[in-house]
Amino acid sequence: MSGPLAQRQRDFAAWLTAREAPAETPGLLSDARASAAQRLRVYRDAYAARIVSALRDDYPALCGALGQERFDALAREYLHVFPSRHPSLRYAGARLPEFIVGHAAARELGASAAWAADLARLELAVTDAFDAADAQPLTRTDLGALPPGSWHALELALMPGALLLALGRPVRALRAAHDAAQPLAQAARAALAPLAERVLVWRSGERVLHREVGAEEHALLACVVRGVRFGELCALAAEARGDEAGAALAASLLARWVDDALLRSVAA
Amino acid sequence: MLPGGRPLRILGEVRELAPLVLHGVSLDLGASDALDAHYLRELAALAQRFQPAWLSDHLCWTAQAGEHLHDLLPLPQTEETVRHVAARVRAVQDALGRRIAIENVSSYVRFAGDALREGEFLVAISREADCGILLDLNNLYVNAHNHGDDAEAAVAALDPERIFQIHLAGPSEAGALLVDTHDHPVRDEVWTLFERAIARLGPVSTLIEWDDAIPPWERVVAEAARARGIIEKAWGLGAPRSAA
Repeated sequence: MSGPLAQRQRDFAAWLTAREAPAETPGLLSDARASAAQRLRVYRDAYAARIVSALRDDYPALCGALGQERFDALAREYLHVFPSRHPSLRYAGARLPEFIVGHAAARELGASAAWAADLARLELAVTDAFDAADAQPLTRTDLGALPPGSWHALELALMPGALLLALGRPVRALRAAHDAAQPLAQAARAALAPLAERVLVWRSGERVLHREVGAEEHALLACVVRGVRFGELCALAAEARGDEAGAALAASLLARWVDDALLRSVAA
Repeated sequence: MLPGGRPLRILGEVRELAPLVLHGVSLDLGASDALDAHYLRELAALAQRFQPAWLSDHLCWTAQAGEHLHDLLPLPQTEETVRHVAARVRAVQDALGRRIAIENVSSYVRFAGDALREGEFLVAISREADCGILLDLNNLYVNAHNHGDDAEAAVAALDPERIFQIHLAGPSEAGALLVDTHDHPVRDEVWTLFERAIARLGPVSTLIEWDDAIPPWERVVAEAARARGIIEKAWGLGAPRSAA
């Protein structure tokens, strides 16, 4: 649409999102109660405050570990680079990890940037798992009903929202501390040191869980993410451990994943 | 409009306990961007799943050039806006296969060239779109304070049969302006406006909104009882009705 209404909205959006309040706001009325600038300020303040508040909710451990003042400054800069492109505020912060890694505006985080980016990735995964699509998890009953000799064909797939992360800093302790309502400071200091951390995030029922996974499990889970049958998983495990130990590893991991409600039920 | 998980499960449980209405903030009825077809499809699917008594959204705009500002932004009160918004409301109603209600919003700015008073603006759009109205009396009161509008005149202009529901809430002060924050008790002036609105519009379904600083349950219930008492005093005992 073009015309006066569209132009007004273009102007208004620009006034709302600009770093500095506009010097002129043609078309906005002032009166004895308040000037046009004072009136516009209500919207300018609310715009940033609303989205920054939503980001605090989405990244609570990051906010706690950085401190609210630093987090808010980061969120405001983020908003200038990645304004919301979705009708729901729920997705306004979806590109914060990308922003921390890739944008000069986030560089004032200094040495904190590396773990802040990893922590943001973890917290985004937690948020995404929370309201991911529902699906039927694969159960021990399902496994018990498999015809003999058909296990090798069992197709393995993660539940919607489950995500495998390869992080460079041990940030899971930060989120775990937040979840347990414990102080973040000690975990924040530990997170400064580079240390590979493989983390699995998923939802079991309505609880979002995360745990560290070892290199072997991580490699096999990565195969599940790509799509794999149980027979292929056994073969992959056997390559690393030999036939017998490989089969035992694959079987024990399958049992754990099923008990964790990590796998969804798919037709064999 | 989330894929799954706890929010949708709770919504389903609420729906089993009581009638449900869906009140949105993102239909963007006043925007100059095209209507969001994906959002509309998701809303239609949500309505199909939960069978709400009605759907409503706000008489405002929220996005520009695909950038969502997540606020209920004010519209110039002109004939151009009336035609523009009414056409979009009709398109939404066609897509959903049902009438919706539009809610008047609080505003903090007014535009040069506004040709219609708030009540006239609301009535003109609702008639041209043949839609319902979700009448927020606190928003009328806030606008009367902020702009010198006449809230009672706005209520007097409305078609009673179009009112789906009345909203009440309490605003905050921001300097000389009032801001619609839903974090204070309903003001006495709004209760008075409610009494007059109920007398004119009928025993309309009424919602008291609290988004923040929510008081103890007893105070919430007491506010609701006060609203119900006003309706019953004017119209006798019985459940409030809705035009939906």
